[in-house]
Amino acid sequence: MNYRPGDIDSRRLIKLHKEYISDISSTNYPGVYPDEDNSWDLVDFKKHVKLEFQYVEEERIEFDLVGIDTSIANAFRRIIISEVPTVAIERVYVYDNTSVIQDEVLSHRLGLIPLRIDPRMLEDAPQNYQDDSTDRNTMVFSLDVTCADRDGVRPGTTDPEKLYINSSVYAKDLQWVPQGEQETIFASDPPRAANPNILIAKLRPEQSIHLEMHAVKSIGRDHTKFSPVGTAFYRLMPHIQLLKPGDRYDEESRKVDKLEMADQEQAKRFQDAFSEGVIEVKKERGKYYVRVKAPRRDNVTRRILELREFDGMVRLGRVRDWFIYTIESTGQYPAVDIFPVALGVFKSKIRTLKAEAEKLRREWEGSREERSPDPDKDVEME
Amino acid sequence: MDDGNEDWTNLARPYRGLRPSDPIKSVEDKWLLLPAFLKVKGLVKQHIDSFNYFVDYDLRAIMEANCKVTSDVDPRFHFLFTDIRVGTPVSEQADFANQRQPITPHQCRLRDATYSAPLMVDIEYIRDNKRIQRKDVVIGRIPIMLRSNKCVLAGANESQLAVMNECPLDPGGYFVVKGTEKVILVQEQLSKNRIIVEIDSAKSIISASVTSSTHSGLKSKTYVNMRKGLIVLKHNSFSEDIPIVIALKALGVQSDKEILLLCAGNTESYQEAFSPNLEESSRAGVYTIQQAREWLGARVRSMRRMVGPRRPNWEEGLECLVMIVLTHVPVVNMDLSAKAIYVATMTRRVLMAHEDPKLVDDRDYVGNKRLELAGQLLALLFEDLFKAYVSELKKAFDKVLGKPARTSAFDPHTTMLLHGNPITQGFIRAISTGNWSLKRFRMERAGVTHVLSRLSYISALGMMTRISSQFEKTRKVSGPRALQPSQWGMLCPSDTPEGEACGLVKNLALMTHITTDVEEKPLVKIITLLGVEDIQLSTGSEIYGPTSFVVHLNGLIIGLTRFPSRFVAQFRKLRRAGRINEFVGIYINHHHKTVNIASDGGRICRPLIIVERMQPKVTNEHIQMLKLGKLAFEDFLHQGLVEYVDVNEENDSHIALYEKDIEPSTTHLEIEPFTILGAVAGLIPYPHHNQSPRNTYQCAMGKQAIGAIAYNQLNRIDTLLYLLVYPQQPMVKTKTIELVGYDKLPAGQNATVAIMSYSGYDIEDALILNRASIERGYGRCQVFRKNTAIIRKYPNGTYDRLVAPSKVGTEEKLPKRYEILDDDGLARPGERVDPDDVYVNKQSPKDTVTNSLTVNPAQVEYRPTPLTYKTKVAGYIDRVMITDTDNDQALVKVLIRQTRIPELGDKFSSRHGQKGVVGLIVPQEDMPFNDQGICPDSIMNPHGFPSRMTVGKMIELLAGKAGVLRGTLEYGTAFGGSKVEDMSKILIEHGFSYSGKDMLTSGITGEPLEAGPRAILTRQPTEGRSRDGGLRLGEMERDCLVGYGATQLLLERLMISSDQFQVHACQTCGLMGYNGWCPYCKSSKKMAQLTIPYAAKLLFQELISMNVVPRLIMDDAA
Repeated sequence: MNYRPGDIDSRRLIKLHKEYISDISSTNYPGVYPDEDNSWDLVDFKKHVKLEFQYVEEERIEFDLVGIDTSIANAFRRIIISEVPTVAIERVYVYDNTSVIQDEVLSHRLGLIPLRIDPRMLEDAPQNYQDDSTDRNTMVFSLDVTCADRDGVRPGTTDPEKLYINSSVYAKDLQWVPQGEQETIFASDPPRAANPNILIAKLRPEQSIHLEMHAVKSIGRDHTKFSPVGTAFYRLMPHIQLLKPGDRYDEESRKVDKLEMADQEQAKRFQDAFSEGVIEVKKERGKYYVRVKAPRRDNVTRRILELREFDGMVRLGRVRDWFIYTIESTGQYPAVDIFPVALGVFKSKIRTLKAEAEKLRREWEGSREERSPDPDKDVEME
Repeated sequence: MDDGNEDWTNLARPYRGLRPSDPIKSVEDKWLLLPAFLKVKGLVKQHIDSFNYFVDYDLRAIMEANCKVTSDVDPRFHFLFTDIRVGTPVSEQADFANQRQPITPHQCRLRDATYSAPLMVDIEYIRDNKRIQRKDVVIGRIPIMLRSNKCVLAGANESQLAVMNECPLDPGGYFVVKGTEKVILVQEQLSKNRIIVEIDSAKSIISASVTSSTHSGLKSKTYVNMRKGLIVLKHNSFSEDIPIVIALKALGVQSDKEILLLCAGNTESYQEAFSPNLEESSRAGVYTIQQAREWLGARVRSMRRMVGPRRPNWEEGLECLVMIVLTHVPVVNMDLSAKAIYVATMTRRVLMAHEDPKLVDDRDYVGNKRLELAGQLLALLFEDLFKAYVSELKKAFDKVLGKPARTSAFDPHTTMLLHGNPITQGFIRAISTGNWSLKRFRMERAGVTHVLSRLSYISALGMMTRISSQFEKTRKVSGPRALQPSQWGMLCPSDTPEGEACGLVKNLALMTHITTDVEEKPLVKIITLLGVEDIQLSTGSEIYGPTSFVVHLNGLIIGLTRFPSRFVAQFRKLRRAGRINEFVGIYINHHHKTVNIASDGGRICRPLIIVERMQPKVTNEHIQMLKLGKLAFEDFLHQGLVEYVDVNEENDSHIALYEKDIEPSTTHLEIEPFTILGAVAGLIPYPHHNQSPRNTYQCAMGKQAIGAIAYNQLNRIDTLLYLLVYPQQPMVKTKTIELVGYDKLPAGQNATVAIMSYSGYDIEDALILNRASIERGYGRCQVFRKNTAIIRKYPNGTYDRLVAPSKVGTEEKLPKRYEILDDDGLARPGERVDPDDVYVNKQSPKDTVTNSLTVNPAQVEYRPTPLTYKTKVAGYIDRVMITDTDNDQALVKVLIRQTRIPELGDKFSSRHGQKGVVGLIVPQEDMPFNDQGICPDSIMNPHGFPSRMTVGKMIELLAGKAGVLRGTLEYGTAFGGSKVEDMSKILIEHGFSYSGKDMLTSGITGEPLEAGPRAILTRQPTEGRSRDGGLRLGEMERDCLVGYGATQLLLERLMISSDQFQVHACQTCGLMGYNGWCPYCKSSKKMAQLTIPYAAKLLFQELISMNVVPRLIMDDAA
């Protein structure tokens, strides 16, 4: 999805100046502009809202989300980080740990290992884990590793991997211990660490680690280890408007598609003030022109505003409702699955809110009927 | 055009001996000499060297001075110490095979033992008229300094050290006494045997004083004072001040003329000032030597120790002059002339100061200071202990010899063996209490030793380089506390505590060395060979002749030379050739017309590259050889490329900081500028960009940083140990960090920091932490606490015992508080201890007094004396150790561990003296993030910057960010380091703003973050914290920027970042219009747009409203 700079309504822009930014908040609501309604309209909303994937990888996706309010876009981001449930190790039972890593540190490390378990298959964590842990809400893993000398090592070897067996303990050493009906339910996709090569601890001969771990389902707000993403974030689509040179630098400046440069060097300087690929230099009839080619690529360092020679030629901005979203999965979900789950959470939140709001309204209406006979009477405090 | 030509000729003329065309030769990587130096000298080498010197030389010298034991009873009794030596550290008790096992320092730490080695003497005595020699008789044990040449760690490689549970990065230089690590701090003192001239303006006294100190330990202070024109000699052993002429007469100078010449020379003004003193002696009726000694003898304070007839006064006076006054000046065959010349020299210095008050000495000058190290202090202690031991021995011998009938032949050896352990106990007591109370030497010092601070690796290291002053802490004087220019390169200018000890406690710079004594005799020989005339053959007129310079050796007057520069040059040549010890210093004092040679211990010195004929002697080839390991630091010394220079010599040299600064008169070149800082200040990145007090604060704070302490940190059982779970080496490091090994034992973590205001919980230096960072392990640390129980044996044969917890009544389960105990009555390692839990179930006998030999052990009644966990927060049993102490009692140590995560109120700090407490912990989704999705680990309020001026921190942030993006570690070494320009380039290459600024999006609203609020009227940032205000850049700050000429910064601060405003003004009428229209001229023809502060626009309008017309006259309107 691309655009021509002139296509964007200037009301949709956040303005970037040399030292500060302005117009950060949306004005797209009633009562801002005289003689304009601007109330929210489903048809209109449907027409403008767009979602387009830029790329999809196992652990990372990027997509454009256009036409929604900042608060909604931000809510998605916040939900992804802290409210999409995953399964992580919550309790560790240490039978033996003679490694240099202390029990609680080891437990903390284990907790942070992302587990590839579909959280939809588990119930929420039990309130009282001692009595209520079942095969429906708890996954059990075990780790039993002992380091030993390796036989037949050539003398003079110093690499611990060659000298010893199990000198490093990795996430792949975690063994799933199926409970109850789990064995059949999870048979197709057995629970495991999302990344088998996470280093847990290092051992030396005669040291061993023997533990049992219980993993439960929870959300990132409870502990970061339950967050399904390293991070989820968006940036706003950069907007670069070329202006007719010589015009006063203000709202009325005339917009142009290309700028004529004095020579190739100046064109290069113009090009270098943006990120790579943003500006295109073209030679037409012996003259050098610059054009905005791919504003999306710009990092918005605002360097162009510091170059005196280009004063008044460029206006920088960002499109307020054009979110370039990135979601980086830590491995519990494929990155592409996270956003829909977040939408689900969002929806259920709205349902709750809606139900509560309606309840409130009913109560209000009910109480109004009660109170209506004599509104001036003193209200008794409960 | 003429001017232009002038410039050209000026340029072509050699400037400072250099033409512009001359290439500037620089020695690449000459800083590599620094690691080479540290390899041989190390940061704590001065401690170790001094201890080695004590063990190898001083010990024997002290023994030799006290080697004979005589008897008052039997004059034929003969007993002699013939040799003394220190063995290797072995256990105190012999094992079953009667073998003493070698011990390691770590064993001693764990067992609360003393890391010591036997002190052995060879003795010779007569028994049955036969001469008997015995070798290796142990007379006591001496604590051994870690890594000294008697220590088992000396010369051990990393794997050997690992076997001994010792950290290879541990510097050593301390003692382990009764399980605690003790450091003997370096003590700073005024140098001995040197004349110091001072003026007491309050009492109008000019005084020259000298503290004499000799190897026999006698110390006394002699003054020559001038008051109201009268000069007197003052000493404790005289009941009144002695007029100088009488003193000199008593010292054997009879003639008044000679006295005048010796003191005043031929200088008329000095003679005039001195002459009243001649009258003084005749007024007292003293004309001859004999009379003077009589006069003096009558005024000697009697401190008679022996009974006997009182000797005549003259004899008394003479003895006092020979034995007590100016003891450091040797008297050979009752020839007092050397002392006479010394007193005369002191008198002359007083006269000089009288004439020109500038010629006084500075007590605070580092060249007048000597540092006393562990070796010297131990030598004093040993001398005292040994003398006491010998006199006790003598008493014991006399006692046996005095018995009328002895059954067997008297063998002093057996008496010795029965003599207890006074030397061992003396050493242990002194080092563990820090009280050096040596009556014999009138020494009473407390706080000489300190427990080695193991808060962090750097705190331990910092302690080893610390120097404490003998100066009174409570006195509020600035002089001794001030930064001395002569401190340059020797003592760290930044590292000193705040508060009462400020400036009194100092730290050594990175490349300093402290000298040990060098023998004087060969030096005297060399001095004579170099053509110095004997002083005693000269009279006053020669000594103070126009061309003659007096040669001093360690404060003693040796002779005269008429060619001081040549003499000094030749002397230095010999030293550079290795014929004279490299630590002997020489310099010319032109004011006093003296050449001073110093070979005494305790001088601070540092190595410098020698420059001859404008060429540094160290070349790139040498450095190449050094890199290849073909040359070591010693080779540079021996080849005369580098030499040690002490403070006095440094101030007589011309030292270039860089190669480009070399001039014809340059004598030396600095090895590396950042060595003026010490080990602790060297950890600060870009300290040369910071306001200096910030560096000082950081020096104090860096020591509190939690991190890794030593490689053996998990094997140690310390009273309190703080460790960071995930320490990281800094992204921006310094060369010092690498040199001291701080990158291997770091204390701290690299954090992504946003400098912005957030939530209001960040005022007053509070900072905001990201909860996700904390939950991922940021700032997580551990506390280990030691708990000790001693299983005592009582004199009545009973003893404490450890018992398994018993079940109460018929209950199946143990009470909760006994749950973690094992069958041996000790808690199992790994168990969690909750408050009130018992972790050592000890019981003690109820009766420890009654002799229970008759009591059946089974019937002893016990009461419980358990160790219970008192802390409110649960911990874990980390380790339990059972061992026995030196005095054979069982010792149980339980190490309890807590893991702590950052919480509100915890202190965090950068490396620039900027500390703050956690004010708020924010979930990740509320944290701001940038276009790359990066969100900060912590947020710091920008108000921390303006008043503190820690520009170094800003550069560190920039270099750190650049390093992260490029994947390299950057350097913030003082006076060097990664350049801001390069860092900015890296940032640009990676698509970031060159200034390190980022556009952030609020995690709460999801909107981009805007700058703070503005006042409505002036459109300037609001004032005051309550209104979210900015910090005012006031007049004085503005003046500062004006002074710098930083116009762009001024413009930015005062207008662009404040209340920049675009106005349209008419060039015709000079009034402001709007939208390109001048309402006054009714025209849009000559309108110009200009940027002014909104406040200025407001002022114009206010003036207009009062009928004052301000007109804008524009020069170059575009």
